[in-house]
Amino acid sequence: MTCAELRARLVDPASAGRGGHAPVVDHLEVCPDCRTLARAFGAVERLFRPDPGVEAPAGLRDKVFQRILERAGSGAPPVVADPAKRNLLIAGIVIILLILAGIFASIRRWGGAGTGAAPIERAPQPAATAPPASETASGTKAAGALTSAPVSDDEKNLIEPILPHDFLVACDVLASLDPFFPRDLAEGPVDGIPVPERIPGEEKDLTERVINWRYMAADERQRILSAHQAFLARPEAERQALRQRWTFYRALSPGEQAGLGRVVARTRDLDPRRAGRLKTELRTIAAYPPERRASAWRNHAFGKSITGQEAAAVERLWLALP
Amino acid sequence: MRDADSGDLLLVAAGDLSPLDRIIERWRSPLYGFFEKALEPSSAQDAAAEVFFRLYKSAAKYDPSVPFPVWILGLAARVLQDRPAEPMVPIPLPRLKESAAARAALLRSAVRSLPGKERSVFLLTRVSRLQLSQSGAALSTSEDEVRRLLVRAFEGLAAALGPVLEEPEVMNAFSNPARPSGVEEGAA
Repeated sequence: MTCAELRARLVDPASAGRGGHAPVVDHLEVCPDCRTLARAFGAVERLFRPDPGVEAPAGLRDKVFQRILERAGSGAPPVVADPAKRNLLIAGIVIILLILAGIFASIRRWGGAGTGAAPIERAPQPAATAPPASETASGTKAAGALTSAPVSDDEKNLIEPILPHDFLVACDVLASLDPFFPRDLAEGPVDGIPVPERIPGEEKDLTERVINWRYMAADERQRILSAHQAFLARPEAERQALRQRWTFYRALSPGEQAGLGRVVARTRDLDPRRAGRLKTELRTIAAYPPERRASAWRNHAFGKSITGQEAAAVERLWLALP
Repeated sequence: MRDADSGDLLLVAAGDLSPLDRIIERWRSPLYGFFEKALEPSSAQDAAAEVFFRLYKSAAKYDPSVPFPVWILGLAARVLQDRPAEPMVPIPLPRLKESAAARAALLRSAVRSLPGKERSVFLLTRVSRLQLSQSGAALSTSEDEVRRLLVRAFEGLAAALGPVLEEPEVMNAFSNPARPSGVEEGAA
């Protein structure tokens, strides 16, 4: 057996039955390099053992369907998911066709009965605007109509300046992360850490963003608009600092983001004197070399008082900070 | 007999989106687990969503004679391969001893440092537990080529993780996954 054959055997446990172990053992006895490599391969194997408990974040399904709706019309299969909804849509179309056929027949009858009938005036066309999701028949979201209706200038003007929704929604938490960053939000971004010129998601196609907007519930739209206005009302230094904090926050898992949100809620509950002291202490810990931060954090009274997930979220945030 | 996933995908190809929900429910964690070994959690979620989207787009091309796991994991492998290899992130050994998050980041970085095909083959066989022949089918390549890529992947990982593999304390920390971070250890 050659070294190459041995390595191929090591990575393919199913091949153990072919040819037996004897040639492998014989080779390992005489080849120190392969002995070292076999140990290393075994260690790598153990490090990447699959974790049966790993759970996908809850929002995954929504992401998939949002993506499908956003990209509908690009040669994809039909987008009306629920057969019941699809039947409703078809029934609606049939009813509209029947009504149109009835009107057409009436016009023909009246036009043929009298002489010198007045010419039929074309009704003015309404502006092409998409119906809000709540106004579609029987509460059904007519996905085809929402995605294919032309995007009006009004919609573009409304949507274009709005920053990515996940960023806007997170601003409240981001603004409360002062104890975990080296300087307060009001003091602007931290030196030496780049501030992104654009929030990821800003570059999305405007039509996609409009269609996404059409699918949102009215109260959700209102929430986004309020968050957008609140962001714009902040001084420029704070806006820069929020963009900077976002780059760290978005790298966290949804569970870690939720954990950080709960930590923020806990810090808000503290009286101002205690909150000020905590901020000073946490910034002292954050300034330690990375290898000392974790032990100092887990020995800190506040670090001990919160759940493992919350503490891990802070630790993860600090891991990313320089 | 046709399995539930294949049947559901044929229904998706016929224009019904409801069965896609069932496929997502059955496969979201295996796919997330696949990507989570190489990508940050938020990127792993995005990548898993992209696989389901590609599954939906390519449903009409699905060949029912191909086992569904091979089909969907082939899509996942391609999504992962699209990302270029990145240099290893240096993480100090003391940090690795203390923090599960740092250990997870190191492993992800090591996988990301592999060339695309080696990365895919490694995760298909070690995380998704496909046999070499199935991995070959998923990547439209031969079993021999998969074996060759796998050897190179192991060699690459062994080299990238070399100092860690020789550090018993860190290796012990890796083998104790019960604690998601070093935080609880001291809090007790």
